[in-house]
Amino acid sequence: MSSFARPAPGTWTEHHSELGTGNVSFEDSISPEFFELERDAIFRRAWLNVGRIDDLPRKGTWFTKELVAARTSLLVARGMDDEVRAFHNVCRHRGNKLVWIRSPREDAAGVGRQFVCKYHGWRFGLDGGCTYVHQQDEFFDLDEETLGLAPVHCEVWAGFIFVNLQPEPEQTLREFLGPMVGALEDYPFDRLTDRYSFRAENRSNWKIFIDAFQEYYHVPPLHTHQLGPTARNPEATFEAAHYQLDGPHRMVSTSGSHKHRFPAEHLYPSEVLFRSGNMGPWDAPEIEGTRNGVNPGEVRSWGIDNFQVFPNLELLLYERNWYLSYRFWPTSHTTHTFEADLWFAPARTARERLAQEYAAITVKEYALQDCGTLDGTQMGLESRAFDDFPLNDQELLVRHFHHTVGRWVQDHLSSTLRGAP
Amino acid sequence: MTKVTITLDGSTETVEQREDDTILQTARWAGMRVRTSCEAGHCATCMALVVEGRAEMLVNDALEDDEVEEGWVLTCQAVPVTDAVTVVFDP
Repeated sequence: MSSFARPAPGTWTEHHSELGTGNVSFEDSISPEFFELERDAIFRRAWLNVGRIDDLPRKGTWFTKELVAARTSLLVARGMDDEVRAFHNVCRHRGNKLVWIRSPREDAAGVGRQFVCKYHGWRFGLDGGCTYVHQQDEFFDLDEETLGLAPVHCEVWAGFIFVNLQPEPEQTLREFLGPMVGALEDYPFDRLTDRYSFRAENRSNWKIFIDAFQEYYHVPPLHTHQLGPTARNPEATFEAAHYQLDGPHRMVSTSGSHKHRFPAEHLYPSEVLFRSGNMGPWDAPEIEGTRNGVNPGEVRSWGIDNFQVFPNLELLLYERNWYLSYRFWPTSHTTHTFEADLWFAPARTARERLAQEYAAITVKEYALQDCGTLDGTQMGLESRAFDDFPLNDQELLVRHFHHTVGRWVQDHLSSTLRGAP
Repeated sequence: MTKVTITLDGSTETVEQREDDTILQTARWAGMRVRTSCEAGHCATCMALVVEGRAEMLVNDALEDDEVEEGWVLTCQAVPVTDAVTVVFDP
């Protein structure tokens, strides 16, 4: 039955015996109390990817990031010294939200030299220091040392900007990312700069949508239309070639689906015309350099690496030299914001550009199909018709994710009980 | 009459400057939504690159000398001083 070797004692799940093979509860996705715990246990504790260096293309550029789950807004800025820094987006004077454009609840981005509070006109530099206090003489014992913005730990890894809201992070970013994700550091992310972005407000717990992207068991039934009508097989199954866990992070590699090698009669005419599809533009750009972290299972006929970086970043690296990033930001226990970005090598011709756009709309169509089950899953779980659910060997990452979230919440609760920070 | 050509978020408009309008005011007259914050010459949120012609700033408390030399202006403070000015936001 298996096309790919599985580790001892014969299944991926039993190989990770700490996870068990029993049914799994999704109470963590329907409980308002559990979400309140996740705020501190996960979103104010883990390193979070809030953007890419591409979002700060030159000195003085900045963006804000609403982190509803952590109950704060961040201001991330590239200084005149090219350092990337993050701050709470809050004025030191009276606590007003410092930077926003259209509405204080909407993310904003721009370029500048100073941030000016709309309320009383205090100003702050790109390094967070206070540069101007209106009518300074009227104040009492102002300590200029403490007038700056509240800094947030910020580190850049492979062009990904991460923040950590702990007063002192328990781990450096590189320690947190661990060897499996860390090995992607040499991937040519900096060469893949043509970007297509989507954003959606979804009605489900954030973990439920992450689950939809960390198993491929659902692909043949849900994404029937991925193949042209002649190639469809209602009995089709899907088996991933390799699974790997590393601390809170997890990954799966798939093999096979190289559409550029499919016979034309199994493809849609538009795929043939654009030479592109859900696996990306068929004509992959040459990009030199090593890729040490890619395909860690040395899968033959490798197709995709799907890295799930805890807690809410997903990186999908494709054989055709492009990648996708997904981020899932909870806004309540039953809603989240979904951010999707496709990244390609800059198009050199109109044909390359069209192939990228075709890949982008195809990915969007697939995401919509995945999204289509969300509301129904959330409602079904909330009915509490069942307490727990069976997961198969292809759903190992779902099992590991909920297990990990549970452990982080437990760790947080026990450290709070011990009186640790 | 001074003609001002403005490129913002991928679209370009050419409009005539009214009286002593700044480039920011002219852009708004053309229906463009420029990102701004202080509009007093301090923050540089509205900075843009003058690629043709010249504009002078009333107040500049934000841009450095080398940037001004490259053609960057604070559009809330910049008034065209040549007959044709072309400005690009986020070049």
